[in-house]
Amino acid sequence: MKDPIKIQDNIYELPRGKKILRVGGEVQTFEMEVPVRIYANDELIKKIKQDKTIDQLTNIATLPGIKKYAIGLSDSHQGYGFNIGGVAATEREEGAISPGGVGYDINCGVRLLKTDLGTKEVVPQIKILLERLFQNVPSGVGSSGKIGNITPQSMDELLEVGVNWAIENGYGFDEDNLYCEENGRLDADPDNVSSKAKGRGKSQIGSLGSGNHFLEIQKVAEIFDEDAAKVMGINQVDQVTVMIHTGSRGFGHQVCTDYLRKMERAVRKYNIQLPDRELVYVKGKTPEAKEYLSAMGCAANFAWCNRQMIMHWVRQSFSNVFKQPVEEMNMNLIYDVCHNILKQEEHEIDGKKMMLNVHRKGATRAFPPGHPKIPKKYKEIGQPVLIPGSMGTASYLCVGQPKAMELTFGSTAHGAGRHMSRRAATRNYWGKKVQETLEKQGIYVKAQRDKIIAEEAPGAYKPIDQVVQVSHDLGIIKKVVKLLPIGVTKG
Amino acid sequence: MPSGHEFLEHTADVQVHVWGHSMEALFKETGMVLMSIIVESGEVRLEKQIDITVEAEDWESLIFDWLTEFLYYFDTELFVVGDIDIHELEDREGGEEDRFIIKSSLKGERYDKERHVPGTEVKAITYSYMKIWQKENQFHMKIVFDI
Repeated sequence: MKDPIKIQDNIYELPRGKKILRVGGEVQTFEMEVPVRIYANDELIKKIKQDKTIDQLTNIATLPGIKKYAIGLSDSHQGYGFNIGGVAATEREEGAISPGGVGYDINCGVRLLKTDLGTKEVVPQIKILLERLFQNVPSGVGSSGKIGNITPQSMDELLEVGVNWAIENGYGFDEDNLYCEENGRLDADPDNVSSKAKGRGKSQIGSLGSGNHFLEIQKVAEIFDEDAAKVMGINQVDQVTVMIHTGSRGFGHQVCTDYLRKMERAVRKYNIQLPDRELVYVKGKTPEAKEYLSAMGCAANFAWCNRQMIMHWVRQSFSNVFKQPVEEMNMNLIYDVCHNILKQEEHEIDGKKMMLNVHRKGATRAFPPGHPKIPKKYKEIGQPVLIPGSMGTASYLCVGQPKAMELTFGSTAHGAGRHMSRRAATRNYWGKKVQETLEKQGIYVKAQRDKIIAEEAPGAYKPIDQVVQVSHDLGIIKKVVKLLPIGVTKG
Repeated sequence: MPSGHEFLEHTADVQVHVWGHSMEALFKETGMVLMSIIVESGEVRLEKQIDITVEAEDWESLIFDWLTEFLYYFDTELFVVGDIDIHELEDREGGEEDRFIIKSSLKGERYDKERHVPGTEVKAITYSYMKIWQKENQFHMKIVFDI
């Protein structure tokens, strides 16, 4: 494998070429349709080169109808088929649509809500608050939602109307949907979802899950852009915010699994050769692609409902601890972003506008000021972008900027990205010790088990400040607020 | 040589190398490894049995589909597998294309917070860098689980 070449600060490129691979016992040649682009600084590129990220990006570059580049963002690491932290945009009809380019956790995403409270009020209550959140928000292995068994009719309705289902059923306020990407609903057809997926989703709606998913109480540590921060309701340092990171749970995992298998059959039908089995795709114009999109929409809608319900329980927990009605707490949703998703969007290529299938796998949409898809409130500042750090490190609230449309199809990184395997992390860190160290820094962690704290130790991740700085320096996003955790609950 | 496994380094997910003296042993070991990621330890009582039959087009997709059933039963019934019987595992040649089939019974019980030590949820089985091979009467597989 050739090394990517640095073409300017924070931009590396690997030119087009041929890939000669042994597939199913036969040697085959795959042509890269576009170059590979990686946005990283000199230190991050070294970490990115250590695993199979670049190999996976060169595979993605062979997909039909891919435009401009196969993109690796500053948080890139090895995934399955597609790397994590990447964007692949293909022509709407003739280009590839690949479930692997979205991932198993469809519409895994992040939402951030503000409070009017400061650390002065919250820190003395932090342990009680974490305890309450831990009780109110189901998390961990085998966690099922607490809403009981949802009827098949309700499930189908939820899958079709997205976040609005949760709002109509009393989880949150009417205006919450304004501050979700796509207003918390994608076009969806529950008939294209298997009963297996619905079965896995039924018990898990309204639960956080485990792994890297979290619920975090944070404080504003630094404000970089006061005007933009004010628009989002952030007025001062030490103001408290809450971040929720989770996705579509077993429902989305099963949808992805089902469609990988369906598309494998389609791949034989259309006689498509693949460099990696996990990279199965069909062209956008095929019935299989349309079916997948409508099922993916269901999973996206499921995830929005999930985050909405969890947010509702967060608001209730705060209301309960601070003895104030939920309506008076002003815990407004700042924004909700998806970071595993496929969107059909209009982009400009060589001066021509065209519709593309934008696969964002571990990538966050970052539309600039004035973009029609941004809520009115944020039109002038750009779309809010949430980039969470690892447990115990900073997270960033940013806004999309014009360069994103030119460099990354309106996208940026989605988090710190691991650089150490979970196994290596448990060899290098001891959960209790990590917990103690964090506690000395004023960060309380409550987890279902100690080992997860070791696996998610801050040292196992890439440095978030650098990941964000790369996108900031490239003009893809602008940093607005830096947030530091004060309390974390993990499944 | 008895069945066994070793975990391999993988940045974000779990990759495991599994071996066994037969294809049955290989499948069984892989199933038990998958379960040990979700529920790390604790006695599993063999109180219930779930029969699973899967057909697929090759060995890789057969293990993929079969293991996906484990995730389905854990997510829907919190079913923890403590033992596996494989009644039939074969490559049925003939007709238009090869069919691969497994008939099995998963034995175990419902997840019990008091007795079972939780591990990590496995989101999905993947084909990523999946490889099945035979060397000196020993069957091997590499597989990545998305967690």
